[in-house]
Amino acid sequence: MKLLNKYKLIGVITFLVFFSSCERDFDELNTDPNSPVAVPPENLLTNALFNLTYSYWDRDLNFEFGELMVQHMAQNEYTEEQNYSFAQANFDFRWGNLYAGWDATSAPQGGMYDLVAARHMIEIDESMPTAIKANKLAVIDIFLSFSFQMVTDLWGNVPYSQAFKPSEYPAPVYDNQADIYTGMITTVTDAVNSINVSAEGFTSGDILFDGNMAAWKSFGNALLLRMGMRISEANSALAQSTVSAALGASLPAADVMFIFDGANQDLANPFYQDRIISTRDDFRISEILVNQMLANNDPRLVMYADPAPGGTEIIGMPYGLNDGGAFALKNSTSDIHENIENDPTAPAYLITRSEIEFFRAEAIARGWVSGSAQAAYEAAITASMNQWGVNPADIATYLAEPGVAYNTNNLTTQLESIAEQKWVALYSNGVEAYSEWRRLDFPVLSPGSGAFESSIPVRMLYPVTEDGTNGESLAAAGANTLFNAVWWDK
Amino acid sequence: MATAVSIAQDRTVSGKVTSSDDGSTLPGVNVVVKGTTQGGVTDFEGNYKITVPEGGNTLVFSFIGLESQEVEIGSRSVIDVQMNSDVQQLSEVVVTALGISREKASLGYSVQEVSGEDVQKTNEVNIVNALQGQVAGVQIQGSAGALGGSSRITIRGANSLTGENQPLFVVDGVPIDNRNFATSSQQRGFGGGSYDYGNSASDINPADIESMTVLKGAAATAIYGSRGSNGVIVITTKKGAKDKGIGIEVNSTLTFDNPYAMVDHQREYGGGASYPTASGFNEFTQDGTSYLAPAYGKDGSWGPKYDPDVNVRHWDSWDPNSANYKEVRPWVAPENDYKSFFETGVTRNNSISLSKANDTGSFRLGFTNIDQDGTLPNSNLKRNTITFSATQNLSDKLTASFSGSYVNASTTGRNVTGYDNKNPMQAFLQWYQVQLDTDRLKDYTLADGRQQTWNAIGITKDGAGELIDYNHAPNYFDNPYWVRERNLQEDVRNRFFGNVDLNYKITDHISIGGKIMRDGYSSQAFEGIAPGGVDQSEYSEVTRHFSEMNYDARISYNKTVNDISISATLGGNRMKQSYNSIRNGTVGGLALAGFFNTSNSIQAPNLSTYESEKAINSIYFIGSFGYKNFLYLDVLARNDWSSALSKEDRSFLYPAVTASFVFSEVVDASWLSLGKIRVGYGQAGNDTGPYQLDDVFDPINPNFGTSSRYSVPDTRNNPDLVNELTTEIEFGIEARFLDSRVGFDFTYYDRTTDDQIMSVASSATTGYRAKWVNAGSMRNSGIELMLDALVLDLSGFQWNVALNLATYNNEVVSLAEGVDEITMGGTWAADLRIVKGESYMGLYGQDWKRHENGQPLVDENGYPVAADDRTYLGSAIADFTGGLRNTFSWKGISLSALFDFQGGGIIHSTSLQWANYSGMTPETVRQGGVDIRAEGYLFEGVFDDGSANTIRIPAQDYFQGYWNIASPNVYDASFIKFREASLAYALPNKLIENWPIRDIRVSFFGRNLAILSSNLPYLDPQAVTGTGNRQGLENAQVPSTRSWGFNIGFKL
Repeated sequence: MKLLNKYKLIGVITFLVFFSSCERDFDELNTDPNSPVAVPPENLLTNALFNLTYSYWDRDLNFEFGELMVQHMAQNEYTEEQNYSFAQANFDFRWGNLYAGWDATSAPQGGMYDLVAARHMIEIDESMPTAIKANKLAVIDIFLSFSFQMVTDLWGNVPYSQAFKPSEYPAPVYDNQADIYTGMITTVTDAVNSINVSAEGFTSGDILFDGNMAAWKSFGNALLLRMGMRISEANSALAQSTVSAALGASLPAADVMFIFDGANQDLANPFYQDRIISTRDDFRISEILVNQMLANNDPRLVMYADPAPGGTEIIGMPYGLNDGGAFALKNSTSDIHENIENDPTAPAYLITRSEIEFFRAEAIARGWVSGSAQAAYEAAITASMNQWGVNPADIATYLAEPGVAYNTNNLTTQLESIAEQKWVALYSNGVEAYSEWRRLDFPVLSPGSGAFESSIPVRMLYPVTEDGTNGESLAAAGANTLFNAVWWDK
Repeated sequence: MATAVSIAQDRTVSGKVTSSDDGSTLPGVNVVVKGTTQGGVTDFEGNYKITVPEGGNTLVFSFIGLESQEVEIGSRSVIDVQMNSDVQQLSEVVVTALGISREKASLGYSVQEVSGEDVQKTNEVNIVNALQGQVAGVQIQGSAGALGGSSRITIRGANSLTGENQPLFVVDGVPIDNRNFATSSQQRGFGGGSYDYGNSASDINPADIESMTVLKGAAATAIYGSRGSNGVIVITTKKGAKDKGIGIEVNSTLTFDNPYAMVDHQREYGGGASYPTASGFNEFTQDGTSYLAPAYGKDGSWGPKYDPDVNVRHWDSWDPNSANYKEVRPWVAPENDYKSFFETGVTRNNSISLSKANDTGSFRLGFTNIDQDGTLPNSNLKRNTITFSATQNLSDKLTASFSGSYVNASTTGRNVTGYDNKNPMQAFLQWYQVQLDTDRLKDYTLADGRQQTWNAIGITKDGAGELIDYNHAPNYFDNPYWVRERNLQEDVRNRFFGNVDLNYKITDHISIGGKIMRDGYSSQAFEGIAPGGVDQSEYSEVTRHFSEMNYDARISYNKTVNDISISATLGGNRMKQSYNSIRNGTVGGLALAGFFNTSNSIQAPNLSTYESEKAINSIYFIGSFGYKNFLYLDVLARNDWSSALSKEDRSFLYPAVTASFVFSEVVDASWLSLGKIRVGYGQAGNDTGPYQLDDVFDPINPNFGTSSRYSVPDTRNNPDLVNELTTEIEFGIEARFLDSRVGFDFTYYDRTTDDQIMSVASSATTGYRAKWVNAGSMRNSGIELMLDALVLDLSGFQWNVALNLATYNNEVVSLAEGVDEITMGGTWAADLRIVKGESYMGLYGQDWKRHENGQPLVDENGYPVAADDRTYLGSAIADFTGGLRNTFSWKGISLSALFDFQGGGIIHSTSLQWANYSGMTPETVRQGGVDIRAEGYLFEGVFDDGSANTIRIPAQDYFQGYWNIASPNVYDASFIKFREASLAYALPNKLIENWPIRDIRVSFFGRNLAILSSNLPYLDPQAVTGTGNRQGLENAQVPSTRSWGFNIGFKL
């Protein structure tokens, strides 16, 4: 009997030691103390506004891709990119970061999905007044469309309608770019129409317009102008209606800029981060751009580049040299201007007055709206001169240059005038410059002597990661080469 | 209470059982009162105590491998017995799961023991490296060259697709954390500037090890439940023992390490680039004198051909305050190339132990000091270990014991891994000017204190060629001496692991025990980058705390009835793990040079914290049944409840059944010393980490102004996760012949791990780049064979050979539904993928486009043509591994040599990719004796019509144009290495009878003596950049080291 008691005792002790308080603690134990389960949508918005703007202006899309493709800049060593030696994996980060974000030190975190998540939170918030809710949703829809346009312009057909629904569509289809444009134009049009400028938007977290809904509305209209004109060659009916409606609506009175934060270098302008923080010295102004600007005595040139070492002259780097050839000229050619590279708070231009006026000029030239194309063209150049801080007195001189004068001869010559001046004006904005150069096919550019390919790429490659994760949809999207033009690029 | 169970007429007999061969104590011996069921088993110290019922007068002692003995009790109450070995048998006692000692013959699964002596033979500092080549089925990858660096160990290949694949280390019952802080980018060879902080199990001090048992399969490890699926390494530390002397043992070792396996540099052309000038140099004038200069800013070696008659301004001729300002020297190959940057590493390893034992207890106190200077300048590791163990019988029934180690390790100047300027190997192996003389690099500052580097931005001249400026700022690379002297890396780790054990014998057959186990450490790491280098100056410190507590209680029952022995244990365990880290660091650089402190930050400093907790509750049962010492059956089970899983899914049962049949006991064949077949089935698990169930938002630093930032994580959590489950069946046969002179042990295993917890990449367009899923399975099967033979035994001379061999068949059977492959990241040219139907860790990359005859194609100009897409080039997993040890002994002298080998597996070398790109290797100069820089490179391929290519192309075009084609830099990772050799001499005690010391043993040894065969040119195919699953990518490896040493040990 005593033995039995002893076993009972042992049993009780064992039970007490091990299982008295365990199970109950487990849920608490597995609650992540490092990351909250709920945050205000404002915090996601801030993150997305910063990261997507940063990506628009950063090395990967902008100066190591767009600016090289349009030959604004040239590499001074290790010249793979300007000679079109790209591996598919080079695009993994570019793609993944824009859609979903990419956890990595020193790189932005959070992509378009942060906007989608914020949108969802706002949508299900039943306590929010209708007008405020509509304004906040409009802000998100406008910026999401801005971002989607960047993505589809670079890659062409991309997941759009089924994107960001991980449970419903684990393998989103690649929508035709035509449908994406229709969708974006509808979305932004609806968003702009739903904005109530007398109601509040995001009273915090809106680091682009600080809750100014009128600013969001005119930014939305400016995007519609850009989207409409982008499809001028591919769907001229939709292009015309969209562009003429946008030109009749409120448009930004000033350049739409995103001002980076100088208080922390991780929030600084990407050019500054690359050149000053990472001490990379990989780019020079291209000789092609320099020669074009010199020919027209362009006063912006001294704002675009620093003088070559040891002198006052701006000397461009010949574009498309091989590694050895470029390196030999590295220390005798002009660097990108220090105002662009050395200022942590230098802005990213999301859309400028100059672009808006170029669009207006083009719309007039195409007969979509009335007015003087030449006046709009000159207003565009003037706006660009102002953007770059040119002395007003020099603007008129420049407009009088024979190489600058608006060539009214026919539609083609008008478009060439616009394309050439726009190409110059969009310096440092590689993403937009690359799209407009592809659409307008002017100025005529060709690969350099060191090129690995016989023509200039007209899109980015879909990344390796899509092969593995969304292979069937990707295969249906068309050949994955650098040379099949996107839909609007006719 | 204890006395109450005694029956009046019974009496107690106790004693100790020792071996007649060497006097060692014998645990596990069956002691039975003849004709009754009364009996017991000797404990670990060989002691037994049994109750003899009235009428009992003979004790029967039996043990596999020993001759059974019957002893009359008479009136004695203490009976010590010496047992003779049974030449017909050979037995071994091994420590198995949960520290239970078992006769090896009774086990139904494969187990291999490595003695402390074998571990200590070559005095490895990292315990993992000491297992190299010794155990069938154990694969080790690690760079012995990196001071305090990581080594990866896997048993029977990889089971988990993306989870942990390294075994659990257990020291005296205490699970030891083997965390590695390498990031995934570090693992695939991109350092990001991260240092290699090693695998944390390297804190285990090899000198304290009595034995290591490698439990390989799930049948052996099921009792470890959700931590058992990757095998378990059970380590038993030395304990106090009865000894003749006063119990002091001293051991002292001195080891020298020299790097080897480095890329050779070509010695015909210098660094930089060829300028479009007559000389090929940068031609300029300074103060009226004309000079030639190489391209300082270029980090490659496509410069002009060496010519002793050409004098140039070298990189160190630009300091106006230096004596050699404007000096010119010939353009020639260096006297001291980069290989002389490395120093001879010296390791001093001293240990002393005090131990004593008597009839009621024992103790051992050990102290080991390791002081290691690495092969990179300014690197040092110090590790002090204090180990204490004691056991005491507090009464006849109650025993208390303790064992524990305190480890204090501090390191300075660890190496930075992978592709980073702070890893000097990035320049040396990939981006360097080959004419540089290492001796001159030691002059790494200008007179004004700024850095002087070979890779300065350099000369600016005007249109007329007159020098305007010389920019001393580094372009891509700092002077390697600047990196090693000026940057800061220090870390310290304090660790304690140990256990307290109480055991109470309720009756002769029943005992209860309680054990509390703890492993915990706190570590601090300090890193700093000096101002004036390529990278922004910086300082950061990380503090980490880890602790794991285990509370274990068990009740055991042991009884032998007639021919049947029963041993059963029922226990429970509670485990709780906590981890936290705090990191703070400067932002925007350091305000004051030379002051490494967070308060010296230019912008607001960064602070981040992380913490995690996890617990597992368990109940386990082990039942062992034996019949007549030849038939055994084990049944065991463990149930785990894990806090990391959801309420519905957190309970898991892991069962195992094994059986063994010692047929030599029933077969009468004199040539057969031992014969045994065994079969085992088991399941073991692999748990998930905490916080992978609920969706959360990641805080993003810094805030934008006053706006906080949060982001949806890249990876989507999954509330339905369950454990990974490994199910394994193994079968084995072992036999020994000819008086045990020859033996083999063969195992076949087949294991499948299902419900893989993986972060499966998802299309980023879903909003997540990855998601946690529980799907898919991976199968591993293979054989393990161990052979050993006493080849020669002639008048005291013995030659023993031991071979172990293991094969690995690995297949990714399935992945998640709709997922055919998982991408694991890669380098520029190659990436790792886990692909359904193929071997684990497939390496993908572009190959050449090939003619139907298999030859690479060239275009009409003689240039090779790349295939359109990346294809499967092979798996990083080996097909087989093994080791061969030869031991010769004669009169106290023993000579031992260990070779180990691997067959199969592939490796992609980024170092060779860039070394060729940069024109540094001899292959970029000579092709079959032809100077290809002058004559052009002939790509060995065929034209479309199948005829051989005859057109030479510029060498630089070839080597710089196709770096993103992986196949030229992919190599079979097979190797044969001369792993270790040792020559030891034990002085006969007779010779030194009058000395105060005895058991003097001296040895010379060598480690990693040679790579006897390898397909990878120059480099070591075994180097890793982290202990994670991403293997097969080499990038800027720190050279492996060849070591020589001397050891002396004696006792007092």
